[in-house]
Amino acid sequence: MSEVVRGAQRKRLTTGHHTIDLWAGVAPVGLAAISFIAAWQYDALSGVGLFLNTLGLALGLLGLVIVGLRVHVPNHRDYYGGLALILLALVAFWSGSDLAGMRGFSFGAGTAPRLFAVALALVAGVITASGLVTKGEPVGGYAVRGPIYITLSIIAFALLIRGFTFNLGDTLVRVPAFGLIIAGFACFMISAVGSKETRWVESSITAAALTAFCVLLFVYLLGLPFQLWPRF
Amino acid sequence: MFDLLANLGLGFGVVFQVNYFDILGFAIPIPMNVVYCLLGALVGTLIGVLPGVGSVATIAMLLPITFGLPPVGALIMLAGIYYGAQYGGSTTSILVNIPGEATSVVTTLDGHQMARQGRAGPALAIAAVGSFVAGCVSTVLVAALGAPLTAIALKFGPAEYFSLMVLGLIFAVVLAKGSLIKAIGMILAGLLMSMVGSDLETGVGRMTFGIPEFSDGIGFVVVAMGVFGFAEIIRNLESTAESRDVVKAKITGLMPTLADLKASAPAIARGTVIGSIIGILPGAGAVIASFAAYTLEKRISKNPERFGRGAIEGVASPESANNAAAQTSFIPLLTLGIPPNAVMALMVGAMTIHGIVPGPQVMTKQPDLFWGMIASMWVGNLMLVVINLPLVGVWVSLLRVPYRLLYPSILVFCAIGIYSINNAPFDTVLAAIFGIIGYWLIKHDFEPAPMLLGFVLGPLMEENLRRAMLIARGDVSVFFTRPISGGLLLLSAVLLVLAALPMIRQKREVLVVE
Repeated sequence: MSEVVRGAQRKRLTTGHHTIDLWAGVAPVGLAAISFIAAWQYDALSGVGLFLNTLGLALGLLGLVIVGLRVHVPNHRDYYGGLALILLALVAFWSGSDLAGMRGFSFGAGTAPRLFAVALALVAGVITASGLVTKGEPVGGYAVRGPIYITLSIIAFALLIRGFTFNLGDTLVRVPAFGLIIAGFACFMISAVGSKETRWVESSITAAALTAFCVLLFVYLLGLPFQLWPRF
Repeated sequence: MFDLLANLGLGFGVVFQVNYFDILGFAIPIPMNVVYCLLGALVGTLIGVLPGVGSVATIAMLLPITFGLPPVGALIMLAGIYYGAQYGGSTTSILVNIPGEATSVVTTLDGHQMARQGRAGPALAIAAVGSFVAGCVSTVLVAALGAPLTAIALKFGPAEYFSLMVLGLIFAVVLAKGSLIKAIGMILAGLLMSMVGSDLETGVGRMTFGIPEFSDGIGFVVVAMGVFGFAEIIRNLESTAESRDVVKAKITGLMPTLADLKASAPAIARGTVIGSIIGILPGAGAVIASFAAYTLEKRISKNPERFGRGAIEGVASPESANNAAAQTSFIPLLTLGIPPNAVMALMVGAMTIHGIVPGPQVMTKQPDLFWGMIASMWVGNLMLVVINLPLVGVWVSLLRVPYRLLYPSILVFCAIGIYSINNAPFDTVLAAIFGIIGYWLIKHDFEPAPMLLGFVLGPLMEENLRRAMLIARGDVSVFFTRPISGGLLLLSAVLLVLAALPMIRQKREVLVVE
């Protein structure tokens, strides 16, 4: 990791940025914390424990250097991309900490996941490092409207097709299954809000036609067991 | 030779097998597998023509509709869908200048120019004819190589299998778009995600977070639809202005002239050879094949300045190459059980759902399935020519459907499809989460295809790694000392080093960016 820091410092000296890239510093510190918590689940002197503690130290140091020396991260795509993959590896270590390791010559349930996670963490470290030493285009803004309505429409479909229950205070509320027709139509209409170009009449007609087509295809032609209409 | 013919005969026997249906009191013979193949090619083209829906997304979307079919029929239909999607991608390249597919990116260069000169008909026809010729040749090649390769594969132990998969993944990395190290990261992420669920040997739930739905693992269709289907929609919604350059002129005269045919015949032959060879290699076979074929045509042409201005060789050669490669990429899957690219990874998933474990034992234990599928490749290619040329007008009108109506339709179709696999609402929500993840990946220049490949290969790799280590009594050196395994790993290392060398890296980037 020391190479990473040196590379970053060089960058700072050459570019001379003086605004603090706070998120770029906070992110690795947060990961360091997760790394230490994950390490806590393992024997500190075992290979995995040592690996996670070292990783945590390196990440913590990275974050401090970035904030302390006001390092400007030149390639955000690689930097955050690498950190996200480190997060994935850490989650795997944490959630797989209860799994058995090697027993003699035979792999335990946890051996292969840990092997892949170590490899992922190392590769992700290199990606993060390349984010500090290479130039790249900024990530650019995220669209908000599209992802929100797309996600909402799928969640709506999932909830409507089978029904669901939830607790409201002390009472258990049961929402009945609405069936394929209503779920499909609702999914179409909600996702249509995701585009600014949507025209309502046109979309409603298409939604109805598509729902009919899907019912015909999945239920009548393919014979899949779908519930069509609401059942209370 | 005789074996080959006998086997192909068996295959065609399976494909043309007739079932009798009682219609109005008459027993009407219908070759159901041909019908599946036809339907597959038809819907494959239908979806493949839609801009922004590649063949991985197409297959993932249409996978659920094959669940109700018998295994042979389902796989034949899927193969049809794949060729259809490929061909649909070429159609959009030529008519709209939007490659529906990475494999038909080069087709836009000359194909769309031809369309603008009013020669869309000949361009589409040559693409179809070239694909068909390539399909015929590569079908025979698949059949011929199938048996010997399977014989080799049967001699493989777990160590060899593991090393072979490493090689396959390295190929995928080297031939993928963009950064090498990021592609490796994606593969490892895929491998890690495939570990979620019950451990095969002990049955312990792994990394399930206490969520019961995770105990069966994450479905690969869920991942594929999320990162390819949903993520693509979210990204397409970002750019609101529709800048589609649909060829408005009516397409008249499909027939290429005699001069066209003369010019394209050798190009088709060369494209077929290149495509067949590159397709066998694991990795992004068909994509590289089409680029390589185009580059070769341009190199050896007497007047290379015609390329990019509507040269018919520039359509004939890459289209033949990508189809040949699409076909021969079945070889590693059918003989070794190792998917060489994301599409084949989906085929593995489909086979598993139908209870078939891909690998050398398929040919010996289920010869009807193996040879039937190979024979159906040829039939599928024939279908493409037969159905697509008359239907070009239909595909064009489909391209005029505005995206604001298209994307909710795709979305609903995908949602129903995912739900129908397990009747699990949880899966659809998970796919939506993978959609957001996929969008994030696109934003950070990560390619999702290597991830899917790693995801499918993960359990296989683990199993073979475990067995190899157990047999070798914990000695890691077994992977290097066994000659075949060591050779494969050495080859992987050499490939990786070569790809990382600055000189080759630049060439690779040029190839990908072009």
